[in-house]
This record gives sequence, structure tokens and C-alpha cells, in this order.
Amino acid sequence: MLKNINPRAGELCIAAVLLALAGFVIFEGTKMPIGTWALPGPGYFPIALGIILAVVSVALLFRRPDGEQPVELFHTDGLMTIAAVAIAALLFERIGAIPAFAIFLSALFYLLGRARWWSALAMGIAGAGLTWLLFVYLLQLQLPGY
Amino acid sequence: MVPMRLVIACAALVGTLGFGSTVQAQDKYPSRPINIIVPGPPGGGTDTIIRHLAEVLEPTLGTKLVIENKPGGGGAIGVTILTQARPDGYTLVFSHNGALTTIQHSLQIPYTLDSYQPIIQIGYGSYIMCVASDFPANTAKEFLDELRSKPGRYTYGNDGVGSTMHLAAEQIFKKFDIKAKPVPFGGAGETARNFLGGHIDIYGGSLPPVIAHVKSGKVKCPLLTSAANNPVVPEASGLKDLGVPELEVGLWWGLIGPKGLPDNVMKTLVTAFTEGAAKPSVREALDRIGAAPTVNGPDEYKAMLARESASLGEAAKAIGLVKK
Amino acid sequence: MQTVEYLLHGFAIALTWKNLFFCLVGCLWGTIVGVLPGVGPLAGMALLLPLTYKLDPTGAIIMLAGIFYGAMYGGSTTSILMRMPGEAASVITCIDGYEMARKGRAGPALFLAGAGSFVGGTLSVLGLMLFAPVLADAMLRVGPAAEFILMVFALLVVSFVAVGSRLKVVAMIVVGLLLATIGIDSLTGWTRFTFGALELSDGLNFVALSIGLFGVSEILLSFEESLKVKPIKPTLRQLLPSKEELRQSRWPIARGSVIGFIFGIFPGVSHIVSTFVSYAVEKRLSKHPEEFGHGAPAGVAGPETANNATTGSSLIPLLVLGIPAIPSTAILLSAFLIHGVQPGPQLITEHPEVFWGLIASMYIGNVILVALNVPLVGIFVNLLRIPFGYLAPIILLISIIGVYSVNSNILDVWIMLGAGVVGYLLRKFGYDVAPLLLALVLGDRIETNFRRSLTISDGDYTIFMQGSAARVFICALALVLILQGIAMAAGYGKRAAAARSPTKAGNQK
Repeated sequence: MLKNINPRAGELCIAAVLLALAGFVIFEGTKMPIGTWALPGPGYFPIALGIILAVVSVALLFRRPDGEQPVELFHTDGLMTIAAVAIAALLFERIGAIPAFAIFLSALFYLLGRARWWSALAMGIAGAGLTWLLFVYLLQLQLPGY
Repeated sequence: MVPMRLVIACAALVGTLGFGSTVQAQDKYPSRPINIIVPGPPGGGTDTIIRHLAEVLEPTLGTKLVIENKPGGGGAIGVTILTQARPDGYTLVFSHNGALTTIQHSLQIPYTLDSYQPIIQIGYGSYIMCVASDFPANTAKEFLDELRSKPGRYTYGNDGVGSTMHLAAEQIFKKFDIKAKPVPFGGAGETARNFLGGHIDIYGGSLPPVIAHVKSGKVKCPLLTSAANNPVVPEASGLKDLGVPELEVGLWWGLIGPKGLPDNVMKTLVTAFTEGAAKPSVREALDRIGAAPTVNGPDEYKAMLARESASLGEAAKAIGLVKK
Repeated sequence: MQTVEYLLHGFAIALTWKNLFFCLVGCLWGTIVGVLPGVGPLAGMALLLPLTYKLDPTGAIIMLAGIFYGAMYGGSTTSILMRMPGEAASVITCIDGYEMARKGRAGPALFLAGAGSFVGGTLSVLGLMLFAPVLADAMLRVGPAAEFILMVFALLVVSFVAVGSRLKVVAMIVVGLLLATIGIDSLTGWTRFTFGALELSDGLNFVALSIGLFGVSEILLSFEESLKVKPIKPTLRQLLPSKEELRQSRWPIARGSVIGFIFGIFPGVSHIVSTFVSYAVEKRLSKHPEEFGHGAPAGVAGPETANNATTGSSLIPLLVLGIPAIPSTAILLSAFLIHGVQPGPQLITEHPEVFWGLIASMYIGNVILVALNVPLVGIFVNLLRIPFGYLAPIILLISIIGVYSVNSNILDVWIMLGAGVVGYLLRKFGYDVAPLLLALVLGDRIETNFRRSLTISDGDYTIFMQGSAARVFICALALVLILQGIAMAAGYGKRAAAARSPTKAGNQK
């Protein structure tokens, strides 16, 4: 979906996120007992690591990017996949695992596999059935609703 | 440039979700499989006991008992799930006392003793303290005297900060005016490994990891955290021998359900589990981990929970453990 | 030799039809749970545990142990075919295994993984049989201080060979170490960075994170790359490794066996760490380190041998001391106890039939597994013929189920998805996610054992140089640092020389 991203911008974003993470960790870490040199407390490691990360991410901000070529980010198919997993995770415990899987498979077979809707649906339901056979019946995993 | 396929897929999804859910009505209990959550990993002590129980109970109850392992948060995750379940008797928890009487003193958890209904308590074991065979003490009294005479000199391993074992030990140490350094480990196995390797002086934890080493003479165990002695380690003294039975902290198990279980469900479960606990295979399973096959009904169980939680809460406060 | 006599007795027990059957069932079951990402030996063993109540102890243990070491065979399959780690111990196999598959060498990769697994597994049983008591003693010498040094050692060794810019590797290691601090601090009971979620109190789920960072991110990347690179469909002739590939894998398999076996006696996460260390060693020793990450057979053979070689030695603490060092052996312990067999110092004298029957069955099991897995190579390779639009949803679904089943926790599925997106972005901009995962595995142990040591010593830092194990590890650490220093100095020299003669450097590339 996002095309022609400047690699420099991407790298800067990641470095900035890492810097923010470092700041957050240090901030949260100071709320915990730091302890002493002889007996470090729970805040000791997070703060120490946060400081290292802050230094590294500042250095990354000023580093030359690896690539020059513009990058493409998040292909439509990738976004649809992410959405499908998210929806499956949402439905998983609400409507039971196997129906959620049938929806998940049908949707992705249709969207990614470019199957006709009826064959995607049939394969999705069959796939969910096989899933049941393998994971619930044979492996006896505990899935919501089964 | 949203593809048509995406639109169709979304529409189909919304359509599918429109279907309502079915509600089942039941009068006879149990009429379908009962889910029993074990708030610990497969293969652990709690898991082993309930699996033995399930095997003898399935014929009596006439339904399947599905054991579901929900480890994490010292057992708090499993119990939390239970407190949110419908009180129909088809979702129950079989837990060790740690998740019921201990965890609330060190961890912020979303339930209290009143959030669930105690059904039946089964089995009573204890924690044990052991030292290497060359330790300058043999009996419990000598052991405690030795610790008292050298404050802060000895290290003792336990199952983790704020664990039942840790609090039980601190309670005893406070009474006998002892200062020993607690070294928390991830579990009894890890504690035993570090103890056998000589990295800590005293083992504190459940019996199974050390029993074999007591037999081989490498290890001696002077003290139990239960009031009574234990036939598996006859040389260890219970707290009754030391004149402080009130400090007793055990390792025990119990069945709990969501609040508001119908009376007929309670009755069925109590009867069935009482019978089941008396079966030889279950007694043997308890025996092997050094636990007595005691059984307590709902009322005694409830009192037991309140008592142990209160005393461990005090112990937690005394060592400055704060809820986080 | 008494051992031979005992072993023959063991074979007499293991080769009965009944025990052979249990061994086969265990191996088959282990292969299945090994192949499925997320579903590990733990789930497989827990499921069959109740079934073993009615068996005799020898049969029960043979079957459950079969699942345990069998799972290590299957773990490489999805790692190679789909870059989806089938087991936590097959994470590193994803890197070169998948690259081999993309070059149409999926068959050889699977074959080498199987062959390495067989050698590693068999040598590991041999080591277990011959040195168990000695190694149990060595293991006990490793206290918190020594474990801390060992873990730092592993982290350093691996970070030296990570790909990409140094700065980015350090960033990934620090992020991994930070992620490891999530959860309850085991020394004080503080809950750190859990945002009130009880599910996070035991830390992040490694399986969810590794599947997300490696597998899900790869699927997201593939949508773009599928436009450019088409994976080569393998033909039947290409199932077996070439002479050259075999030659390149010979020593990695030998070294992997040793590395895996030695790491196996150290409790906890050794099966994962040993694969990383093996990979690092192979890359360092290779004459063509630049091939690593682009489908080097040694990068598959070494680690896959190492993770199988840990299986034998990780049984040592259980069998000799009666203490399980990893969750899978905890289930084995429970199976022992159910049958009234107490593992520990008296096991061999009190229950020789169980001990020697188990040892013999493990030799047999490794033969069964290799016989089972090699024909499967042909079937698995054909999975790649399924169009990506169908294969990706299926593999994602299996991952969702596997990740969920670890703790029956839906949050882990979200973590997997989040890790997939983050991993996608990181990889897009030249970050290597492997050091992050290793740091995550080691982080908790590094921190906890560091602080635990100081608790024991009252803040005296000399504890890190006390005890034989700690001293050995310190020396190893120093040696590696010195060698790395020399190598770096030489590297700078070479690079400086190359800069002076640019044409020559250009030809080499």
C-alpha cells in the first residue's frame, strides 16, 4: 500500500521508535528500586539497558542508511493477511475455534489464492474440518469451544 | 483501490456473525463433559493428582473430565478464568494452595477469597528444609539453633519471592529469631540442583526432588513446615514437635468453582470427589509426593483458606513484601 | 566390559514387540508435534501421559522419551520449507534452511537435517550411556555465577557472527534483553512492564515471538518478493544432497554433536542456545562465511545436529539426579513417579530394566526416526508445489493454533501477529532478528543469575571467579574475546590492504 518509501525515512523512524522505547523504559525503570552496585534491584537492568539503547538509537539516527532504493511497504495482500489473523484472533474465543478457522481460511483462500468464492468457502470449511480432525480429535489440543 | 474481493469478503464475514448463539438448558448434572482447569503445567504435582482423580471419577460421574492446563502468574491466570465462568458446574479449578492463599500477598490479582466457591479440599503435604550430610546439625532443634547462632551466614533456596515455601520459612524463622538469606529460584527442581551442587546451604521446597538423595545419604532433612511428621522422611520433625503447630503451612490441593454453584452440583461433586480421593490409585499418587490423603468438605475448606491466607499475609507483611 | 552386557540386556528389553511398538508410536508422535509449529514435545507428551498410566514403566518411558527426542527431528521441516520455526530449537535453521529451499535445495536441506539429527541423537545417547554420572557432577558445579558467565558467553559468540551493521545488531540485542525483563522479577517479585496483564507475568512467550519474527514476517515479505523471485520447484532428482553439500556438512555435524551434547547438560534453554552457538561456530570456521544466510548447508546441518545432541544429555539430570532440568523432562519425571520408579542415584541399581531399556530404545528410536523422516522428505518438498496463496493461510492457521496451545492464551496470538509486523519492518530495513531472539532467551537468565549470585555472596563480585565451572567459563570467555580481537585486527588489516588494491577486492566479490 505504501510505495516509494525513502529508506532514510524508514531507518529514521525505526531509530526514533527505539529512542522512544529507551525513554519509556528508563522512565518506568526509575519507578522501581534500582538497588546498589552490590545488590542490583529490579530497576537496575531496565535502566542500564535503556541507557545503552538510547545511545545506540541516537547513533542510528546519524548513520547512513544501508540502501538507496526506495522501498515498498505493506503490500495489499500483506495487509489483508494481517487483518485476517487479527479477525481470527478476535473471533477465536467468541464463536469457537473451528468456525473462526473456517472463516479465516475461506477469506484468505478467496483474497490471496484468488479462488472463486464458492470454492474458497468449500475449501475453507474442509480445511477447518481437517484442522478439527488433526488438532482436536487426534492431538486433543484444548481450543475454545472444543 | 480497494479490491472488490475485499469488499465481498467483509460483507460475508458480517453476515456470518449475524447468527445467534444457542443456549442449552440442563437439569441433570452432569450431563456433559466437565472442564477442570489446572493452573499449572502438564506433568506437575497438581496436574498428576487431578489426572488420577479424573480417571477414577469418570465412571462415577458418568461423564468425561477434561483437564485443561492454564499455567502462568503462579496459578492466578487459571483461577481468574474460573471466576469469570458461569456457575453451572461445568467449569472448575483444581489448584494447589499457592494460587489461593499465597499469590495475593505479592501480586495484584483480580480475585479474592470471596470470588470463588470452595468445593472440596484433597491431600495434605508439606514443604521441607534439607541440608548437606556434613551440616553441623541433625535434629530440627539443632538445625534452628545453628541458624540462630550465625545470623545471615546461611543461604536457603525457595520457590520464589512470596511463594508459599518462602513465606512458610520466614514465618518459622521469625518465631525462632533466625536470620537466613533467602535465594529465590524458579522452582523446586532448580533449587534442588543448586542445593546439591553446594551453591546454597539449605534446600527449601517440596519433597519429591530430594527424596532420592535422602535415601542415598547425601542429604539430611531436619524440618518440615507441616505440624505433623511425615512417614516418607521419618527423621524430619514437624512443627508440633517444636511446640509451634500454629505456624503450620502445608502444600495441599482443592477443587473450587465459580460463585453461586447450585446445591445439587455441590452435593454431586463433594460426594464424588470424597469417594474418588479414597481410591487406591489416588492415595498412591498422593503418597508418592509425601502427602496425606486428607479430605475436607466445603465449610472446613473455606475456613482453612481464610486461616492460611491471613497468616501468610502477615508473614508477607513482616518481610516487607508489597503488592505490585 | 559391564556396560556392553547391560546394554545387550537393554536391547533385549527394548526389542520386544511391545516396547518396539511403543518406541515407534512415540517417535511418530514426536515427529508430528515437531513438524507442527508451536506444538512442541510438551503438548505431545502431556497428551499421551494419561495413556501411559496403564502401561508398564519401561514401555511408558520409552514412548514418552520417543516423543521428546522425536520432536527435534520434525522441528526443522517447516523452518526449511516455510521459514516458520517448527520448534524453538529450530529457529536458527530458518535462516539457511529456507534460503536453500528457495534455491530449490529443500530436499537436501531436509535430508541433511535428518542425517545430522541421527548422528547427533545417536552420539548423544552414547555419551549419556558412558558419561552420565561424571556429567551429572559437572552439571551440579554450575551454580548461578557460572550460569551467568555461560549465558554471557553464548550471547557474545552469537553476536559476533550476526549479519548487518554492528550498531543494528547491538540495538537488537538490547531490545531482546529488555523484552526479557517483562514479567515478575524473580528476585524481588516486582512486576515489570506487564501493563497489568496477568498473562505477561511469566514473561513473553518465546514460541509466539519466534514464529512472528521469523515466520509471519516472511509471509508478509513474500507477497512483495513473489513478484520478483519465484521459488524453484524441486524435482525428484534434487532430493538428495550433492557430494559437495555432504562434504560441507561433515564437520559441522561432528562439531554440532559435541556442542549440543555439552550444552545439553546445562539446564533450561540449552536446546535453543546450542543451535545458535553451533551456527556461530560454523560461520566462524567456514572458509566461505559469506555463504551463511544465503543457503549454506553447514548452517542447517550444524544446528540441527546440535539440538538433537542435547536430548541425550538433558536426560542426565533427570536420570542421575532425579531433577528435571527442562519442562519436557519434568513430564518424564512425572511418568516415572506414576509407576513408582524414582529416578536418581539409585535408578540404575534399583530399576536397571527401565534405565537400560530406555538407553537401548533411544538407539532404536533414532534409527526409526531417520527411517521415518527420510521418505517424508519427498512428501514435504512437494508441499512447496501448493500455490503460495493457499500455502500461506494454511501455515498461518497452524501457527495460530500452535501458539495458542502453548499456554491456551489468546494474547500470545496477538503477540505473534505484532511480532510478525515488527519483524517485517525490521527486516525491511536491514535489522537481523535472530540476535533479538537469542537475547530474549538468555536475558532473564543473565539478569537473574547475576543478581542471584550477588545475593548469595553479599555483593562480593569475586563469586564470578569461584568454583571450577565458573573458572572454566571465564577462561573460555577470555579466549573467545582475544581470538575475536585478533580476528578483528586482522580483518581491519585485510580491509585496509583491499582498499589499497580495489581491483583485487572487486574480483573477490
